[in-house]
Amino acid sequence: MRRAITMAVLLFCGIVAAFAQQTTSISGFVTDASSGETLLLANVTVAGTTIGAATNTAGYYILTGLAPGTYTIVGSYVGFQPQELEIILAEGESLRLDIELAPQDLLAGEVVVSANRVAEEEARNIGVGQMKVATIKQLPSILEADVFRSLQLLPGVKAASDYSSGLYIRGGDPGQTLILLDRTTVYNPTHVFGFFSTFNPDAIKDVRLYKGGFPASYGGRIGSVLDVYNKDGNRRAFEASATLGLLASRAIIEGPYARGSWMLAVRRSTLEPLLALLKDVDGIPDAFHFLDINGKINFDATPDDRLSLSVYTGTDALDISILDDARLDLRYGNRTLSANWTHLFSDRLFSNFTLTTSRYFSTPRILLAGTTIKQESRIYDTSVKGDLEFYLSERHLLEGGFWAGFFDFPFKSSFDGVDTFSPRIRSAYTSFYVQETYRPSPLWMLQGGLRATYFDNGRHLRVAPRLSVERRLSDNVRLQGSYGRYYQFQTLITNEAFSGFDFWLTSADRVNPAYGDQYVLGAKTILFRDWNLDTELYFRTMRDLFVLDPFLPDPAGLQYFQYFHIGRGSAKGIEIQVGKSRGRTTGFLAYTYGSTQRQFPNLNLDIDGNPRNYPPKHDRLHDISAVVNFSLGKSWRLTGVFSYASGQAFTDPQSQYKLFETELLTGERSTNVLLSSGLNQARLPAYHRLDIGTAKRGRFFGFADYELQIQVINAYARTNTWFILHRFEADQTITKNSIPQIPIPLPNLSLSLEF
Amino acid sequence: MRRSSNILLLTLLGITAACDSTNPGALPSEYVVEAILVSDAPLPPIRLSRTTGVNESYNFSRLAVRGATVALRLMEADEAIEEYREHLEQPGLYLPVNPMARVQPLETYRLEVLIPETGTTITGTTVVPDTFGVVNATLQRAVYQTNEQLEITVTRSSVPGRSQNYYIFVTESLDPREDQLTPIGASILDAEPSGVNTIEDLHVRGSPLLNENNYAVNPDGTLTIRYPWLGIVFFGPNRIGINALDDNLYDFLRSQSVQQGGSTFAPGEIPNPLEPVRGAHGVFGSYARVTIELEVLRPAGF
Repeated sequence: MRRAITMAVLLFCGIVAAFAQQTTSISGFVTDASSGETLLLANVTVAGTTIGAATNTAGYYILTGLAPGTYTIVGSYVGFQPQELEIILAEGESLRLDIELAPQDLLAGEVVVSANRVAEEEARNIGVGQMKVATIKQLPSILEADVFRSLQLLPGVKAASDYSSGLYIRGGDPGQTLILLDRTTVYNPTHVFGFFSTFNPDAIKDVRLYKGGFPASYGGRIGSVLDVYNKDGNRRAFEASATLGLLASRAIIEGPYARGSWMLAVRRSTLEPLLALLKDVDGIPDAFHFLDINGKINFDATPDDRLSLSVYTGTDALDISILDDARLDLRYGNRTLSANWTHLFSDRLFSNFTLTTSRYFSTPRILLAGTTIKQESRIYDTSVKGDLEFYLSERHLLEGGFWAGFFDFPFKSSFDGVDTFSPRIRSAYTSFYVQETYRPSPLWMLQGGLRATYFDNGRHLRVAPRLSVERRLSDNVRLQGSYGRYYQFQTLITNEAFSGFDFWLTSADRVNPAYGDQYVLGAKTILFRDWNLDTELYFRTMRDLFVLDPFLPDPAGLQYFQYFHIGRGSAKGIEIQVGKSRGRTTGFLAYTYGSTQRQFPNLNLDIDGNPRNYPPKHDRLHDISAVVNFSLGKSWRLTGVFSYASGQAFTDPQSQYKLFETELLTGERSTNVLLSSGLNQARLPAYHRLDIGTAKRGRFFGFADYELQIQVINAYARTNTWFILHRFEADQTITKNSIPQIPIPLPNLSLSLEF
Repeated sequence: MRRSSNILLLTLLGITAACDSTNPGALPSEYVVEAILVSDAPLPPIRLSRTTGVNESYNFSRLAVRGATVALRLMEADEAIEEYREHLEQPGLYLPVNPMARVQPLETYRLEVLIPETGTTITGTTVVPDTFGVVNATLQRAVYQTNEQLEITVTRSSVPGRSQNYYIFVTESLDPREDQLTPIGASILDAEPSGVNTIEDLHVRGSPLLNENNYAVNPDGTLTIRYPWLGIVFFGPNRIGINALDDNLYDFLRSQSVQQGGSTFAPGEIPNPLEPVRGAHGVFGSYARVTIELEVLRPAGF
């Protein structure tokens, strides 16, 4: 395999050599002048022309196709002062032009904006959802600013409930989204058993969501990709900040050293005083905490070589008495490490190589009446990946790369001291991709790619084509379309209500990888200055979905393929987003129409015993979210979020029966059975919620800047239904209990200090 | 342009308005059969009833189906028929005409019910698991939650065409009194959402479905099962039953048991159970059973 990778790189370099001697070019990195942090998706344009480029995930850009002459190069980025640089370009010159942008106080008024917004257009490319980290930190949040809960406001992204941070994107389940942190897979990105995501907003530089139709450079999931990048750390000065919150507190320190920068961020829950106060209340844990540590160190070896080492560790630990003589002790978490090398072979050939390792563990232990029940689910995933971007000309961008690694998924459960089930899944995997972006004219963009993946467990080789097209109708209107085939070799075993026991299984012999096709059409328009209107229609299929058979009570002694039931699904929808990104008032209004279906054996059977389609619980037709951020001068800010969703699917049983001869069979005096005309064929009442917040900024006793946030979640105390619980009573009736989502106004208070 | 936009908008609205595929529908009252055979035991009673609405109080007598023709056909024994007749005082309950008849291990039984009132035929088939026996039980008396645990060695039941057995362990207190409750038993009784309201609800407790491969197979082919303490909710005399299930009961119970949560279903997703009968809801299945008795002693300090 090493030989194959070497050959691929050499081949790529050969193409580079063949094309390298072309016209002039300007290239470099765009950084934040105050911190030296690279800026992803920043604009670099040539004034007076339509030529422009956006920085890539390393903050690198290249402009080609320029004749010798004098130009004004404009660098811009939302929240930063545009930078104009006069340059003189000689015949055949490849000019290295690193651009530093100074942060701008958005409150000071409108900024001068280049007419050419390449990066902003790229951020609004087909299937892409964008949420700035600053926005994430400003939005009203349930106890703690949260990346996933903020993303759930985007069109096409749904939350299953107030209690779940899981991302249900375009009809897909959370397991259909690839979560990457500094290019490393994160297998269980949750805290508090699904309530929050693991990503500390202080430590994050960029969040990029590909809701669907993603390019060949990504693979491994049939739904979507969330690409999260840690901050590099301040390259200019030492900086520290701390935030005290109701649920958790966090701190970050960062600074420069001779050849680079470093960053260390820590977040820990601070619930101990509350738990002590409530220690006599049933259901309150005896102990609980979660902890995140993000760290990164960068080494700028040469102007063309940047190295970084990024680590993340996160753990949740719970100790709770369930009943007298029954306890649950649960530890789960993630560890990731990525070593990254960004290298410029030439100004036209950008490369990035990453060595990653990701570890996940979940080790619940239940001590129940003298009987110990243990489960150990672990994942070890070590991989190496490389991505090459070759700017052949102003019309051609050729990209290629590989990702190869090795999974080890040991799983062990034991009951009463005896190991009962201990499969161990090991598999090597390799994927290669090649992708060409062709711009025959300023009006057209074509992108085609192929991604080939080999999964050793089961010896599955799959090739997936990707294609997207863009046609610019005018300066303000772009039409886009994309098609892609996607494969997934892993499946997440989870429950919406509790993520602490999550584990993963993989495709194997007699278990084919899941696959799906995605078709997306989009229209991206600029209505008028700073106002965007984006519309996307999507349709996607899901085939060979392999998920743990929900009727499987005990896997002991079964062959691996017997764990699963294999099904299929589809999803379709329309997403409309009107957004305003600059000025005192920013925000967006998003509407989603979405519908998704599943079909699995033994579920939702017709009269002849054949499975019928049914909507999963997270299916709902209409979602509206409105996000407003209003600046009241330099010190005050108001934020508001309103969410509306039509009712989620649920099962509303219509009839019942009982069995009476089962006591010595099952231990139940009677066996109660509920019957419905179909699975999830009813709709819960509509969901709506208003969250509001205000923030005050200023100096804190002269030694720090502070921001005080006061927020109220569910401001008008709407009682939204989570699900209906049916309880069989002793008098032979059934009581339907509506289990609420967050039913009361929930305050949130945080104080951030920046030194 | 504006006209085009309006047409597009109306089209989108039309698409969205027409696409809710859910259909709550309605379920009429349907027949329910309950027929559970125990290997090498007398033929069991068979119950016939109807379903009722979830908003109605359940009353078997009110829902009982009367006047049906009920029989069990032995498929392997020249299709001999065991006939049933309705209990005179308990509507919906059908008893074997021959009270001495026993369920034959490894026999294939076919349930045949005809309800003249509607002409409905209800059928089902079960292969009765072979009988099995207790070879050894290490204890007759044990002190609760000590390291000395009961180990039961049993021969293996079998069902043709199946590689392993599926078990449910059922513990029945023979002296169920409140002052005999173990701490976990008392907790279950107290716990509000447990559905356990009285001692009577608690005096028989069952395990989840467990596969045979969880247990050690001895060189002589027997199986040794270490009985967990969590199965005990009463001190004093207990009868422990080991039930080996046929495919019908396995399917029915594994699907019925997740109706109220658990597994990978989202909260509020309630699947219909897998019901191995035609023409009705309910179950027709069989199991083999062995029992032993164990005296559970209260340890010092309990």
